[in-house]
Amino acid sequence: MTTEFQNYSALVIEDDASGLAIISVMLRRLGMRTVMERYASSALERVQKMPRLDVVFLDLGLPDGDGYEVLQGLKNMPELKNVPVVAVTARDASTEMPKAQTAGFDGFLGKPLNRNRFPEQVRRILDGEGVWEVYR
Amino acid sequence: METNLYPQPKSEDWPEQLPTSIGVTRYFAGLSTDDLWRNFFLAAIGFTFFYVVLNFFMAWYWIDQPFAGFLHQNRVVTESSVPGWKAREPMIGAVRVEEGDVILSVNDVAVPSSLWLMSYLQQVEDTQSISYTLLNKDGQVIQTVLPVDRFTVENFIQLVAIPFFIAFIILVTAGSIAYLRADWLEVRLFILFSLALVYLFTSFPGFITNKFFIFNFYMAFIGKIIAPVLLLHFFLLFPHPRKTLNDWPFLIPLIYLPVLPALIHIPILFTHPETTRNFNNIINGYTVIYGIAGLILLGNVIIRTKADETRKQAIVLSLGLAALPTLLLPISFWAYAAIDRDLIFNVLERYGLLAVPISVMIAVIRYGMFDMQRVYRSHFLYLRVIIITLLGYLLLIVATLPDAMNNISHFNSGDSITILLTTVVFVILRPLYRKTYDWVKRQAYGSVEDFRVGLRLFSQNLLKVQSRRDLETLISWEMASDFRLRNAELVSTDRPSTPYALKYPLTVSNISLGTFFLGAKISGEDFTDQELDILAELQRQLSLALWSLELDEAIQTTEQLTRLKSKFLTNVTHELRAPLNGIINYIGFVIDDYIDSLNQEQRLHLKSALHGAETLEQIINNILDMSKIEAGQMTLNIQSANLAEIVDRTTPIIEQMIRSKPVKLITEIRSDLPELYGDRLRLRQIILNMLSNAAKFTRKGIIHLSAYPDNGNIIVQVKDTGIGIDATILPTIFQHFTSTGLSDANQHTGPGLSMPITKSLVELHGGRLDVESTPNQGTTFTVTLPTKQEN
Repeated sequence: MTTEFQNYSALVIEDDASGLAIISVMLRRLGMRTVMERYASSALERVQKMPRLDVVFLDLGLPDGDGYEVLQGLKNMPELKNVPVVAVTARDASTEMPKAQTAGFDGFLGKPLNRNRFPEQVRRILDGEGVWEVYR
Repeated sequence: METNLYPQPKSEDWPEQLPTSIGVTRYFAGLSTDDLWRNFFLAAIGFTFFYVVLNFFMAWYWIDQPFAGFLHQNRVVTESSVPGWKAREPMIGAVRVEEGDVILSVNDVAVPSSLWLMSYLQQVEDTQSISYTLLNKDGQVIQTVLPVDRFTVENFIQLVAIPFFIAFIILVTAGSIAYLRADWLEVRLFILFSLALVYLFTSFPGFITNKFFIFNFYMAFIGKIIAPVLLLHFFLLFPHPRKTLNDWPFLIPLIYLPVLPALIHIPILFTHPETTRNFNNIINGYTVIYGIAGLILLGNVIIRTKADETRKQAIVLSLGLAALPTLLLPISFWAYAAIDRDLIFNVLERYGLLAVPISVMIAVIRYGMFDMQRVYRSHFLYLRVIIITLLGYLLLIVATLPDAMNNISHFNSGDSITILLTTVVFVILRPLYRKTYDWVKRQAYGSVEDFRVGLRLFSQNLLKVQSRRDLETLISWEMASDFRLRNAELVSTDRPSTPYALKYPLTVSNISLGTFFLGAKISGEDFTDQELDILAELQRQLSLALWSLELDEAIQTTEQLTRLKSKFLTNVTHELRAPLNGIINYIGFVIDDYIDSLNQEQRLHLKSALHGAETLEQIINNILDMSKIEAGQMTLNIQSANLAEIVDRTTPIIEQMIRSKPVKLITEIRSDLPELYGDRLRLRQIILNMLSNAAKFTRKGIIHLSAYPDNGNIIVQVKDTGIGIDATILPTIFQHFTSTGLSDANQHTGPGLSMPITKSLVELHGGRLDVESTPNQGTTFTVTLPTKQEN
């Protein structure tokens, strides 16, 4: 376990329990504080309660709302202006990635996530670099 | 996907040159049926307009002139005895003349005929009064003296201005619609136009043209008899496919009903010889029957037909025909309350008696409400109508002759001569017309020219054909008239439903697509060699058209299936990736976190499981990519891309793969590469596929990736020192599904789906993928990418 991102804090919005667990394990391995949320409707509320937020991982297909709507909600919050929002999805990357790009996502990670490349991907995201990648 | 399989009419298939010697010929040769139809309208509207104006000014000239105009009605005093026909009550000044009254003399001169009376009244001096002697029904002789009227402005308004404006409004409306030319407005246009035409022809006031009796009579005659028949001819000669009423063959005989009034009238001629002069009533009888027949048909269409378009047309026809006179009635009463209402009734009666039935008849025929699917049948129908009409005239003459001999004083030479002349004109003109028409046509085109023009029109129409049914309709409706044949038919079996002269089987590569039958030429001549050549060309075009229609259908079905498959796979792969995320990562977590507490065997098992899951991930991607490429749905997200960066992000994966082998990966990217536009994800996939293919098949040595600019292109080359590809497999590695594996390949199965996908991706970028290989020495994949990507 590294402590590279000791004071960092991430929000994961994902309805699939297993997907949620995987990404939070990976984030915790980086030493990042992780808040998990399963519903689109309460995501924005949750954000407001967080004292610090550095990155958001957002599943595109949520049971009670579309990821793109949540993105708009997040981007409309002034305090989140500089917080990167990364799309995480099992949908077909070649069609979804351009959509995510136009919608204003700061990155895109296709499922399955690659645990070997994940730390580097997070690093690049936090550096403000766009990461648009799939498993391989 | 747009398919363009129809045989395009090449310019060399068209007549090499249309006849240039005669301007008119050239003009007509270039016209389609629709153009002819439209020009016919415009010409007719113009002609009618001219007639309206002429009528108006001729009547204007008569204002303040002495006249016996109203008295021309008096002719019917002796002629209104047809049973069942209620005569108007004619007036001589203030004296009401009863039905059956006979004018015996004027100014003590005996009246031999109404025609004589008419000319006499015109000759009397301005201020002179006329003394009438009438014989009434009861046998009493009445004397009455009446002044000669002048034609006043009020008369002018009543007799000329009102009808003029009605006709004018109709004309303007018809003209506007013609100009706008909305498709099925043609129906209304036609009614309006024929209304105006017929109305005008029959509304020329008699008093104006008394001196030109023959002129007047023929104008009415043209309006009532010739015009409809000619129009009928026109529409039958250029039949146009509209909805047909196959359900109503029994209504066809209604067209023969016009003969009925003649049959009723003939016996009466013997008992009441004076009725021979009542020619108008006979004509009106004809038109009434036409009108009733037409309205019955329309009513039936509205009530019974299932074809929406036909019903709509019929409703509009009826509304147009019924609404106009109904509206005219209250309007004219309101506007001209002070004026003699009989005149307004006169106007409406003319409308009702002539315009409505003729319009209905023409509209009914024009819009295919009879079952006249076969052109030849419509020609016969037309001929039969003509023959029966002629027969009616002949019977009339025969019936008139003995009367003329026996009662010379009642004999109106004018009427009989008119009938005789009409018949002769009809009998002579009809074949003469046909002959002249054919002659002009032959002079203009020659009969081969008919075929050339036909072929050209047919080729044009072929472009609009969407289905086999369209083609069959096109052939049975348009082709026969375009080629001037009796009939033409395309059937899938070997049996035509009509007699035929020529038979062309349609085949492509020995596959039978149907049979094409042609009837004899309308002229009755034999087919010439040149014409047969043209028909052979037509046979070729038809075969191709049918073949492409069948292919089209097959392609559409296949495309639809491919799209469905692609959609299905997109959904399935989405569902598969989520659990795969769990499998791959949880196994990965165990390997990462507990590697030291696992024994050798456990470690090996877990790594195999992970490898299997990763392979599965790749299979899923490959299947999805392949199905997208096949369905033509692979789209690229074109952006500027940095090749060096893409390669940098790819090499760690390859390093990982060759970690346990004595293989070295060298990348050499020239710094002066021009800017590259492409789909970053796909470019990465291309490079990764080439590198991992090399990594798989190279046991020792070097994998060398180089990228350099070349003549406006970017070359990316991956060269390995691997086992190479066998020369027998090499040509097939880019073919879909040639190998047994769907994932990356192993030595036994060849390179799998990855290479065909890579090739397709490169080609979608506008580039080229080449491969060279020497077994046991190595393989070189070369990608050539254009630097400028049109988006």
